[in-house]
Amino acid sequence: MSVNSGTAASSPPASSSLPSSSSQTNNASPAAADAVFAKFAAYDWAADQHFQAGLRSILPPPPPSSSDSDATAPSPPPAAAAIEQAKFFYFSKFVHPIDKERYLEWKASSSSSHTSTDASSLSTADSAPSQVPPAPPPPPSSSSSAKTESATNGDFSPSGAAAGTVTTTTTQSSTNLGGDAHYPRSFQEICEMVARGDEVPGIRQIPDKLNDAPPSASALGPRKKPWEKA
Amino acid sequence: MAGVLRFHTAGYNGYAIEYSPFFENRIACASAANFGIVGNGRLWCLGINTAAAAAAGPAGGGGGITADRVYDTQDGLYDCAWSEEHENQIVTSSGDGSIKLWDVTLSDFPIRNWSEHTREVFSVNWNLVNKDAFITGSWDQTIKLWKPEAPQSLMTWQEHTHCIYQTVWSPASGETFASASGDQTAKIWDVRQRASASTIHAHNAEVLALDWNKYNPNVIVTGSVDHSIKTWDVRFPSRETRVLLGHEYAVRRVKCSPHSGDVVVSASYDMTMRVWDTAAASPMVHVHDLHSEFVLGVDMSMFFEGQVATCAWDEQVTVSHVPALGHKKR
Repeated sequence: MSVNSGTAASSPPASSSLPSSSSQTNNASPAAADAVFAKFAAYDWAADQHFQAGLRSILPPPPPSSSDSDATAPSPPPAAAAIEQAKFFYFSKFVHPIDKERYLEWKASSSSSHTSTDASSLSTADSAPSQVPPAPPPPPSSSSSAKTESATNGDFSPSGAAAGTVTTTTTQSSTNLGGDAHYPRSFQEICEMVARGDEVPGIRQIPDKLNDAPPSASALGPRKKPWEKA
Repeated sequence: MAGVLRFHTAGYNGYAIEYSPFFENRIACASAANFGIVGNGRLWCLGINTAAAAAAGPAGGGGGITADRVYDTQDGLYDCAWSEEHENQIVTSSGDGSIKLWDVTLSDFPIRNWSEHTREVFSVNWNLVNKDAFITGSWDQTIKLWKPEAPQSLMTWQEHTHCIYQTVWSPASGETFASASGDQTAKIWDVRQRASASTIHAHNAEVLALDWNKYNPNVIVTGSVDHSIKTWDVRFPSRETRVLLGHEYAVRRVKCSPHSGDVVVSASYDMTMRVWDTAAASPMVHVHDLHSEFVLGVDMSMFFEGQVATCAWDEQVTVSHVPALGHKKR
């Protein structure tokens, strides 16, 4: 009945499992993290049409929400801050979850040896993280969920993306899903399609209209809640 | 009811599941295609057929849950709430910011549609006391108050500084509700005031979930990206009354039992639903590991103590009897 594997333990984890799981998500494979940071550093933003299109949609009229005021508060020009924010959001959502603070730390401390070597091994690091339990499906990562959710503040959400939940398959190659023909496309595949601007198949146009028929009349009174009976 | 009943929300990833407050065998599931990234939404009105379930035996399986009605929407559906005053009506909230009211005796289209929120609406909740109103919480950082017959929202609150993930009415006061936000706080509100009544810095991470204790009107429960669940006495917001540890990833939803002031259930990105007895020395009393992806929705039956429904990104709805939910009397 249960097909859970890996971290979805059915036995109650001791409190000691908390540090270990967080270390797994945060620190376990520094090499992989470095690879992600290097990939971000080397990312060709100018060539990414979808990013550029999204950027045009949020600039030059800055978003009206409060994150706008956040962006104008610090010293860098608002546009630069917004673009940086958008980059982190976009990268987290469509390439790989990335923690802005840790990236900045990494960038500040990284020597030149980091970037070139790690960048070359990006693709394998992405698809074969050493500490992630076997899929399918892969375990979620709350730390990366958090990043995605935080990143939503960047007001750069091309398509009503799911809340923060969506990083589950970012470390997984889609072939892992091969066992079940009915299993949907992986999260990463969908993200990549959206990022490329591909049309995701199967989206239907639902008429935006109200029901012509009159609503039903209520015939029942409310039932008491269990806590109201006591 | 023996075993586990399952339903496949084919092509749609479950986001929320809610028992009808009128019909004991009716549940609704709000869902989104493509994990909610892009594409359509679907509201499922499901019937729980306990006779078929009994016939299927302890192994459970097919036939126990049937789709009585499905409604398709342009964008993903992230939450739903049954009307507390009209047994056939249910409201949904969507990724495109829209709120739709449905009459389940009708097919295809909603009877109301509101489009005021400018971002994803992750929460909708019907007032349990003043049963003619509901609230929504959105990524646009606002909370809005609605009545089914009103063409516009009646009130908008803007105080959170990040996405709002959940808004829940107090079961004891029709004027009081609480909200959970990515700004790491939970806030308590009175509908008659523009500013919140209090702010709880609940976690050092985003607060994704929240509920009110049904038997102690001052107690709320929060769930967070930090994996923890905390209980709070809202009169003393500076410190939680209990921390419940065990989930291995972010806690996406928490609900307080309708039958006991001590029982809390939670759904998590760790693919489990867990049952907690907040009065026990070892509070985690059950781990429900029936899913193979993020569990986003959970609800407890008000009519059958111990019955619980879940939905998840694995396209599965489960209905099962969890003894740990029923063992505890208030």
